[in-house]
Amino acid sequence: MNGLKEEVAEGKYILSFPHLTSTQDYAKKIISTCARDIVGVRADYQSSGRGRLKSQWDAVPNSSLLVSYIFDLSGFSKRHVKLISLVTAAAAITAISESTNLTPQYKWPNDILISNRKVCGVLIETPAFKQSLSQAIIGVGVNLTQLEFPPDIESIATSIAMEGGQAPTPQALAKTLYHKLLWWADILLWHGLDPITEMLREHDGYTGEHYRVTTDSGERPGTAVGITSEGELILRMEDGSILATQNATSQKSVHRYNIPADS
Amino acid sequence: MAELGVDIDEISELVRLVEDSNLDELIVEDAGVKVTIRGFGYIRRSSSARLIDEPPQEMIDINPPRHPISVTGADVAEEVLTIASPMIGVFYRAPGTDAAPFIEVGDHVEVGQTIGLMEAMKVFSEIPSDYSGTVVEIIAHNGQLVHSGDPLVLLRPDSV
Repeated sequence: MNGLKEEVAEGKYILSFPHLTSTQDYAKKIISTCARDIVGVRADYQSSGRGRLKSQWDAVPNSSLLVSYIFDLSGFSKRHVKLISLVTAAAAITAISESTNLTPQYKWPNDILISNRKVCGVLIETPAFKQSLSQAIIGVGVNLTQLEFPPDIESIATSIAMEGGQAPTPQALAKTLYHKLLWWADILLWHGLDPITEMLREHDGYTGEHYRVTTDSGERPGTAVGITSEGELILRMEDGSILATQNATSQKSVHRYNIPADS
Repeated sequence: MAELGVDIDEISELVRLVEDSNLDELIVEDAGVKVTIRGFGYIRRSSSARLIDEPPQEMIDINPPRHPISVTGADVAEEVLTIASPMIGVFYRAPGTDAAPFIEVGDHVEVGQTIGLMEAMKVFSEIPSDYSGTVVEIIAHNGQLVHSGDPLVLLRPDSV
């Protein structure tokens, strides 16, 4: 494997590249090689994120942290897998707040905001290698030094620099975030979800946000009013009913998965 | 199916009977032909199909539970298997907006090949096939909310 090895812990490395088409795709290749010492892939520039990531997020080379962690799921139950979203959000909040002088907010399920604008997005995939699931690929993008964004997202995106924070280097933030991921994953495994939901509620950036929830009868709009102890989003629907769901999408999500038409 | 000496309409009627009555298992044997139809209740109690909200005592096993409709006779055996959803979530047939679907009807799939994605809390999980065979029907629609045990894809396995 090419790429520069950046040590993040003893014997554990993130592979760093000036340019990749997709850190997620490269991380998937690494899993197939069983290279246990590589825990992530970082790129200064990502030319074409996979279908669910939009290119404007990483339009300016070296202005963002663009990293995909290869996350060991040993010890995780099926129930825990979806909760990696919340673990990643908690890790990103603590990594950003400790690396800058800023206080991020949390927007369900794993967006991180500052001043009500998105500074960090997450994409998590669990590849189906053979018939068992042993790793997740956690893709994280953090806007660091951008001073402007394209017109179509400038009202909903921000960066550490635009918010007046001291932007860390992508390499430094990647290392900090790696350790926060491990720490919050241990919290989940040993103490359950309560400490994580409590922390995320303290950084509430979701209440009042508009979502679309996928139900058995199709998509319906609702307004967020909280999160449950299981990490689900609580929505007040247009008819006044209250719904807890794990399948909702923000109406102003930058990284929204666009549903292809049925063929 | 005609060589088996059974009527497909009769089998369909039996399947509907199992589904409508929530029976766990129905076995009909006649003239050397045995038909076994297993409902989701049977599957949910089997070790390979724990519900997503059960306590996390087991390690991860995302093998989709089977919903077998097996027809066996003295000389011939044929089986059509359902790949069912291992969890509640939104089903996607393709990895992205502009990408081709993972599978189409008539495709041959191998063991471990991805047949779709499930999304919950923005975690996208690839759903593998746990046997090889030919896709007979794709039951779940793109973007559809599916529950644990809901059928996703029908496969005719290469061998029984």
